Amino acid sequence: MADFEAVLDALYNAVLDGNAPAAKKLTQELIDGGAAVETILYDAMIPGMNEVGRLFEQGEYFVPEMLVSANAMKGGMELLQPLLELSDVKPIAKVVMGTVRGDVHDIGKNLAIMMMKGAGFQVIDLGVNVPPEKFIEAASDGAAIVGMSALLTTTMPNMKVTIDAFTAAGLRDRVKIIVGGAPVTEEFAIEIGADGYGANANQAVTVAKTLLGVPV
Amino acid sequence: MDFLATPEIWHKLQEHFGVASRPLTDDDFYDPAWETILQHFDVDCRVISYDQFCAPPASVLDAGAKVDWWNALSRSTPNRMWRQELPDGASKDIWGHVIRVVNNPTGAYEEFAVWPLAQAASVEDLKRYPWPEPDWWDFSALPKLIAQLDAKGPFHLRFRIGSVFELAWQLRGMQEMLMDLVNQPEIPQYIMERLTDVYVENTRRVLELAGDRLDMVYFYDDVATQQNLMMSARMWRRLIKPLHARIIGVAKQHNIPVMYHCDGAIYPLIGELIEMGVDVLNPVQADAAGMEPQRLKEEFGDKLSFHGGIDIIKTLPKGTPAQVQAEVKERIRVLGNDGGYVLASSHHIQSDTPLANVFAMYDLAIR
Repeated sequence: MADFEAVLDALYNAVLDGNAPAAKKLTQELIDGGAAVETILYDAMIPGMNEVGRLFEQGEYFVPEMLVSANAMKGGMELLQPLLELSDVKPIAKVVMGTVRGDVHDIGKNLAIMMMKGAGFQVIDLGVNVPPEKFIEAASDGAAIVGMSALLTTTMPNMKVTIDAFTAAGLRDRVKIIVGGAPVTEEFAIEIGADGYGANANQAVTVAKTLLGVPV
Repeated sequence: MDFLATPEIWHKLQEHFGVASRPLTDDDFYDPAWETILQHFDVDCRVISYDQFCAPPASVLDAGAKVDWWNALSRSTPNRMWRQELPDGASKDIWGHVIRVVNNPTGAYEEFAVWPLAQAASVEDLKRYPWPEPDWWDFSALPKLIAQLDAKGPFHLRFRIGSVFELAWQLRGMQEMLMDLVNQPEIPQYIMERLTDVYVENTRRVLELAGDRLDMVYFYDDVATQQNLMMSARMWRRLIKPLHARIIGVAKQHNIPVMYHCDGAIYPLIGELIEMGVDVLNPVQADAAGMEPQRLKEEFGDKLSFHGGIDIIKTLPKGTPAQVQAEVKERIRVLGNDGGYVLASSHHIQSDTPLANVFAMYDLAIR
């Protein structure tokens, strides 16, 4: 087996630096060289994004750096995706995410989705202004986590409405529900019966992993 | 004391006080009914905003569009605000944002439907955009407006101008813009400079016309989240600070104080903002990281005044009137110690706020 270490290292750094053209080129190089999909994903890309999350928490990286890193990983993932589908590499879990009904703000939600994907989750993005029944329908297909976002205090109550709808549908025990958004707090998350709260995109990942018992 | 609210709250207060809006004409720069409400609350701050004075050439209007001054949901004061209403029900502001209305359980909010600069790949592309020129504003009615306000009472008058980073990302798309800051800073830089050029020239003209009667220049630009800055302080210094400094510079040439608004956790930049000439900081979101009023007052209170502070996320919509009053008293005790505090909400009072809480906040007896 060829030694991919140097190229994997370069890919890790390309993700960390948010260098999209390099990430694409190196991913292709690894694929062409016969590196396993799993290796590319778990020994370069995901560790790169984990480091991005760590630097973000430390206050060294900010949202712009996080975005370009996620974008660099996305470019590599597009090349990897067809191979991933043929392989037996499974995502950590399936996650359904959206902004609640009445609210069309999506910047925070999109950032959280990028970080979730970067960590190895499969994410179904339901978009904005998502009614409870749409969350339920999407989550019924094997999702382990439901993530809801809101920016307005006037739409935050729809998080509770959605959680209650899961309960009414008898599905509340099958999924973990996490919430986030500027006006949302830990206290509010507990009050409405959510399982977790992420204060930022990176914490969404940490919370989701913790809830599933996956090492953070 | 200041008062800013979403239209739903204004309308409820109109009903409460029994002050209906009369039909408004092109000669009205503000709705006198809303002005009456400010007087009911004994509010002594008045805003004069650059978007009350838009007068772009007719060629700016889309086919079938007509000018509207009163329907913008982002109106938070009695002031009119220029928009063109498009035939399909959306509207467009002076910068070319296309705005649609989204309803929520207690009210409605405006959202940007189109990012007009999303596709630009170079500065050359950006140059082709129909950028507003300073001459698209006509401030000749300003002395008359000031005279109208002065006739109603001794008010503190502040001139409001727009935002640099915020308006730029609203033209470009936020994700795109944040990535540009890293990958191709010349794109956001060009957009932000075009905006700043207009603000600087507008402010210069306004202060030349009425600088002796205006008490403050105000501009806003959100560069923080609840937890931290949106970008590193280094990036802010390189790309945003010089533009803010230009706006502040115009005010300082006329010896006029400056108020700056930035939501969220702006703490790491406050020292530099003071150095740049910011005199008043709005809105003091006490729940954002590092923004505890006590700390801000202790650290910066000798050089900086504060505007805002009454929480619109929890206290105003969900608290009891007693809790609202307790927060008002606490803010006055801490931020108002030795003066330097303008009582106001931490953002526009939102549609989910009970009127009883609004009255509690503006109860003169507790101040």
